Amino acid sequence: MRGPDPDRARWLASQILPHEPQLRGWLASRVPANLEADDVVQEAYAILAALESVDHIRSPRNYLFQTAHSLILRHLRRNRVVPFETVADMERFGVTCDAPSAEDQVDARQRLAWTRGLLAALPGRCREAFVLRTVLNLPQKEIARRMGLSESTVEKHIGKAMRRLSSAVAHGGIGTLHVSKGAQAQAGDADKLAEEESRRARRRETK
Amino acid sequence: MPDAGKQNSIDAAAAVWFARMDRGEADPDVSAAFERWLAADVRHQGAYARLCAIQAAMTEESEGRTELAPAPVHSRRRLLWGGGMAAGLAGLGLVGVGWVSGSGTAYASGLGEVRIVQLEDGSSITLNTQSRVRVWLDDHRRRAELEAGEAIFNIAHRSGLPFDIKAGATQIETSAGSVAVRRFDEMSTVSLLVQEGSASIRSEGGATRALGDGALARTDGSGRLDVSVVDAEDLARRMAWREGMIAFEGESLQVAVAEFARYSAVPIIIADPALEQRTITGLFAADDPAGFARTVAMSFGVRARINPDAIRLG
Repeated sequence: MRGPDPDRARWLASQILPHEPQLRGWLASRVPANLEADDVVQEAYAILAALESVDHIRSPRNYLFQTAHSLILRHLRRNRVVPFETVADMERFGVTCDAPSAEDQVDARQRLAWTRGLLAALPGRCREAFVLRTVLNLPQKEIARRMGLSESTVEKHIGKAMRRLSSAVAHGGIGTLHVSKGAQAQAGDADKLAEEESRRARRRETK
Repeated sequence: MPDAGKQNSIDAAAAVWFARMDRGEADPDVSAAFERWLAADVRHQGAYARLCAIQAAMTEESEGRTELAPAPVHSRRRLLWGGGMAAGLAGLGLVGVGWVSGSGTAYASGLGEVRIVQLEDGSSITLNTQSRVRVWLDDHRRRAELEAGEAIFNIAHRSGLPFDIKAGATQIETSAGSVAVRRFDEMSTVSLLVQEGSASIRSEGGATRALGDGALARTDGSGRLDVSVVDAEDLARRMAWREGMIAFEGESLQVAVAEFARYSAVPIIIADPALEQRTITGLFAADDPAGFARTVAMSFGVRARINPDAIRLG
């Protein structure tokens, strides 16, 4: 038992990953004591990666939120805490139904911009090694030869790149212009999230 | 990159495991240790699956938009000249100057297109709208010419082999780093922005400067060279086009409209000349001139008439 197969990895990449920042924002105010948002996110990915099939999932975003919600309820039950949440709470975030919603539509161009921003923000040698790995699909050994580095140094660069990308995905944003506002918003309440979004939209208007 | 603070320890460990397993070697002890780590906690499995997804996301997007440069020039040279002769010419200092020019390899982007080109030496070039570069790579020289438009050169370090960029009569040299070069409509005006690393620039008149992170140099046909340093926000604004956005901070509407014209075939016409010098601040999608016009119209209290062939403001 290793990682997900390539098809599942691609499904997670295109259908789940883009919603992670918003999920974390939602979790920030809903996660009970003794449970970290990181724990919920990690376990949710484990569940999604291990599913027999994802063909039946019409709204991956809703499925993700529901999974996270179930994990919270399970934690509360185990700690003998009566869940305070109501269905209305989930409905506010539009995740109760199975039908795909507008939010499922992750604009392909936005996604591309997002990943490009992530790549561009990696430090020089690290980015170089990572690009050779993912774009030219060279094995680490070959990258080491080309860059004149030891294999363990290349391994460290790949690890560093993954760590930074992992952080960037968790904190959202498509580049330095958006990131600071978005990261602040994730940390706060869901209401603050919506408020921040409309403030950002107003800021885009000309003065 | 946002300041993530202390990263979750499981995510950090997963990154280390990911890189280790990515080496592709079958050392049984390592594999066994990895499986034990995975089995120890469901969160470990999730963190690892998430990284697999992140890698898939980066690979997918890169594959869709990147193209690989053809084999470097030197392999062709060996076919024609034979190794011995090439070495002899190198001794004369002739190889790498006249001969290696040839015609290089050209890459061009269309209207409104952002295109990434991956080079064999590990460098990459990101072309902005309507841009064209020509590249020559071999064991002795790395050279590019920005023939039109704007591009970001992410230069990989190669010991003893700097990367030369020519834009009109302006020469730029860097050994490693990320630099953005732009040629303006007044063709002899060139700007150089050092995002990361260092570069030197030599203007047509012979003025030379060495530049570091955040340095912005601009030279025009007169040969003069102006250098300043931009802050992080300004730098991000100038690079926003990589993400399909245009950022303005106090530019005039006239300049803003000219910028949009680089990305879209639908011209924005400023019908009322009084509007031309009004200033614009904001972030806009480069492929949505209508959206820009509507926002401007609302802000300035004027009309925007949007038709498929032209947009009129005022």
